Amino acid sequence: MDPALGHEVERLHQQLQLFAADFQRLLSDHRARRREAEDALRELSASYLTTVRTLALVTEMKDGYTRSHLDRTYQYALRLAQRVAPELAADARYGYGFLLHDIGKVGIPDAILNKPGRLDAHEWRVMQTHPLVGVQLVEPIRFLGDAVTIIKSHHERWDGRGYPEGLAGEAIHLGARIFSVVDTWDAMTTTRPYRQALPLHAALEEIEDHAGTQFDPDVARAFVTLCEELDIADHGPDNLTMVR
Amino acid sequence: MARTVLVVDHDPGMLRVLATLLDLDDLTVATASSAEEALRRLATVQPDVVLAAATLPDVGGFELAGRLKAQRPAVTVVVLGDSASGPAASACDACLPTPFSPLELVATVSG
Repeated sequence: MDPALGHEVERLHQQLQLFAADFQRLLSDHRARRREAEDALRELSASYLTTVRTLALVTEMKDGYTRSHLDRTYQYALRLAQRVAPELAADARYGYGFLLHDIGKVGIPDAILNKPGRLDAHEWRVMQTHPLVGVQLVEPIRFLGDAVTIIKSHHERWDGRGYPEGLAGEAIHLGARIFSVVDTWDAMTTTRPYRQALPLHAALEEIEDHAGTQFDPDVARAFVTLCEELDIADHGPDNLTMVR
Repeated sequence: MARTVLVVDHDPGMLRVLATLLDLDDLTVATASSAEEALRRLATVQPDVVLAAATLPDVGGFELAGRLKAQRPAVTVVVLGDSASGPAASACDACLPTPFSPLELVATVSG
């Protein structure tokens, strides 16, 4: 090789080596920053969840439910979401919506909320405002995203006879369709001041019977299958491994 | 506000490499392939920094630095190549020996 050319190639190699060294340094810095960002995000997500859960507990306690009700419906709804739409269930906002579904009940007078008997027409109208009260309360919290829609629509029915908007079918947010099944199931299987809990298998039959009217038929069937797989009808609703 | 850097190198390949390297959010890159073209471009480009190769076919980078400074005292001139001595060398603000570290080059040009 021509010595001048050889010298030029050698200089180019040296230059390339410096580019490589800088590139390696930038990549290392980038990876370190990404790890820091991921750690910060994990911590932030955990803080969000704790905050949301605390907020939800305030409502549930006012409603006379217990912490176990909140945990149970949350876990069931997450499980069901994983079954019905695994890609969406990974979205933390679904969980926020499940936890905060009844946040609007803080705006309902205790006399109506905890009335030991059936509500009259006026009381029932007041009670039915809780999804929209909830929306008003949490709408400014940007990280909740779609959770707000779950809060708004968890009393909608597949046949359009729910509230507050009378939405039907797939016009109802999937998260709300999922939660509606779980919430109804849990209400039926919990003893309240005005009625005894239904036996678990009877509650499951109710869910099946209302698939396609009150509930999204696919979601209702998935729930029944989930309960059968977990032997919930025989061993009780707490036979559910915590998923988070 | 973005700073403008005028890159001067007679080797089209190296000119492309330098222009790509400096094409950052806070820098606007203009190019010239000779000292003469660089001086001509002062009529249309208002560079904050001139990055010139030490070896240019017409006028060397250090001498170009002196001429640029005579016309635009405020402009920062960085010469890329083996450093020179004498009065010409003192005209430039910085000299980066080759081969150069890209990060160091960006840091020098960005000020």
